[in-house]
This record gives sequence, C-alpha cells and structure tokens, in this order.
Amino acid sequence: MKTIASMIALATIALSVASPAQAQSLSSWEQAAANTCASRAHAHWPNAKVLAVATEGEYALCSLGDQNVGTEMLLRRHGSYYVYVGGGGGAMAPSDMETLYKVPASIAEPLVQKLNAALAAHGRS
Amino acid sequence: MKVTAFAIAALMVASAALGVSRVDADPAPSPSASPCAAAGAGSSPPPLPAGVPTTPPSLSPGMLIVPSALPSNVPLPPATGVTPPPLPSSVSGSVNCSPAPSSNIQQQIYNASQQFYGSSTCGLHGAPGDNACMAAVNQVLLMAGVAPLGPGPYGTNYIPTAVASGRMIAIPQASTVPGDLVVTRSKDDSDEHIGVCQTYGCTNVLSNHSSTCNFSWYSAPSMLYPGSPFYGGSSTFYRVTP
Repeated sequence: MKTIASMIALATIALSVASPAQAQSLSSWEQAAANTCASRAHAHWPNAKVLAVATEGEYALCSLGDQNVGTEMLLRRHGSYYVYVGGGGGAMAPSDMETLYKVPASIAEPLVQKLNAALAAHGRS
Repeated sequence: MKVTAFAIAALMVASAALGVSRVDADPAPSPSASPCAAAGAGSSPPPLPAGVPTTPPSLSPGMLIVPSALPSNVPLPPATGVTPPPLPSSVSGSVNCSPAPSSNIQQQIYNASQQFYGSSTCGLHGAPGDNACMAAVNQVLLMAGVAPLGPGPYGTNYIPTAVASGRMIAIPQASTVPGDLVVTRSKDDSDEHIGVCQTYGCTNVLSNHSSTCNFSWYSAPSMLYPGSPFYGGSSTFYRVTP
C-alpha cells in the first residue's frame, strides 16, 4: 500500500512538471522551438538563421540555414523541457521522421507541409 | 595406402599448377603499378575552371533569424570548361582501394555532377532550397542512371536516411575517386552537408549552394568558410553502390 501511495505521489509530481508546457499556447511553443533551434545552432554556427518553424502537437520542426548549408531540427516538448530528436542535412520528409524518429504519420505529414508553407512565405523555396 | 599417396601427390601437383595460374592471371601489384596510384590517390587534382569560387562570399555577423539578409546576388561560375579526369579501367579491389569502383558508377556520377553543375535546386524533389543538398545528390544519381538513395522515386532529402540505406560504403579519403560522396558533419551533429567528390582523394567537392539554390558550390571536403558550422567537425567519405 505504501508503495502504491509512493507511485501515485511520483505520478502527481511528474504531471505537475509536465503541466506548464502542456498548457503552453501554440505560438509560445513555436517561439520556444525557434529559440531552442537558434541557440543550438548559433553556438557552433555564427551565421545560422532560423528560416522557418512549424509545430504540430508536441513536435516542432525547424529549418535552419545559412549561405551554403541547411538543416532541419526536430524537437519534442516533454514537460517543461525540450528534447532534440534529430537533424542534420537535407530536408526532413514525413517518411524520414516516421522511420528515423518514430514520429506518427498523422503528425509528420502536416508538420512538413507547414514548414514548407512557412519557408515559402519567407520567399525560400 | 597406395591410392592415398597417389591422391596426395596429385593434389600437390594440382596446387602448384593453380598457383602458377593465379600469378599469371593476377600478378602482385608493384608500387608503380598500383591501381590506387593509377587512380590518382594523392596526385594533384585537375584545376578548376577560371571564375569558380572555392569559398563563398562571407556574411556579416548578427544575421541570426534574418532570412532576408542573405546575399541575393552570388556570382555563379560558368558551367563549362571542366574536363572530367577519366577513371582507370583497371582499378580493382586487390590493393588498398576497397571497395573498388563498381561498374564505373563513380565515373557516371562524376559526369552527371558536371552535367548538373549550375542547375537550380529550388524546390528540388520537394526540398527547400536551403536544404536541398541531399536532393541535389540524388538528382545527380538519377542523371547517372543510378538508383537514388532512400525510399521513393527521388530518394530521400535527408542525409541520415541516405546513410541508413546501406548503399553508402564508408571508405578512406585516400581511396576516393571522382564521383564518390562526402558527408561533413558539425561537431554537435546538428548539421550535415553532402557533396560529390570531384578529384581523386576528394580534395575538391561540388555541392548545393543553398542561398542561391544552385548546384554550384566548389569547396574543400571540410566545407569550411567564414561562419561555417563545420569547424571542429568531421568528414566521412562514401562510395555509392548499386
């Protein structure tokens, strides 16, 4: 009984940690993803720019680029922190996300569409 | 017992005969006749055409999250004047050149890369211009008559998926020939770029130039330039297999 009570207490703590990000609005999550992408890249890549960010549920896909190379970063928010799932080189397609990073197809497809639309809005094809 | 002794003697004679035959058909390579040497590993690369930039124009600092501040008019070099160095027909895997070029695929890839030089990569195979390096390489493979890397008719646009395809065999830089591929990775693994080796030993690489979305960037395999994310990173060389 004591063990069960402890588990319930732990679960409560976990939920309370997760709640701030869960309640985060889409726009703030998008901004947070952009900031995370930029800070990760900028440390190693002074000219890095966040070209576009798209979010879908718990996932965010960032397109970074400079004059010669581009990259994609996939982030997932877990509670109040963000997990860098992968990235590097080329453009991530839904099938790439599904196979490499186990992102559900229902998330991957609209995520890529949103990112490409955001890039197009900035004049980047 | 007599039969056994006869069989052993026959085997010895046959072995000797086979040994002579093997030497005749496949002589041990002398240093001067090494296919690697013939392939030009360590030799001087062919000169680039006049006007081909080896480093891109530098950007000013403080450009973070300012897409519109990219240079809009990067001069492109002429697409002619490069003579592909021929690959030797006798390259084999019997010396330190493993894996050997298969069916002249690398020559075809090199030729296709030159053919694709100067072409637009804007939106190529669905990839945004900034992230079209993998799409550009797959386009080169398609033009070379080689199946693209990754799933689908145009392959993947994402380098990790291409590497995971199993058709990119890592090789030492010294063994590379024109038409091999190089993937350069940033120190924190957050960024990669891919290009086509243009010289033996891959001293020069042709790859996508993102800001102009054009397959026209000549660089060293380290992909270094002012502000490059690849300082402190690493390059891996690959040979594409059918």
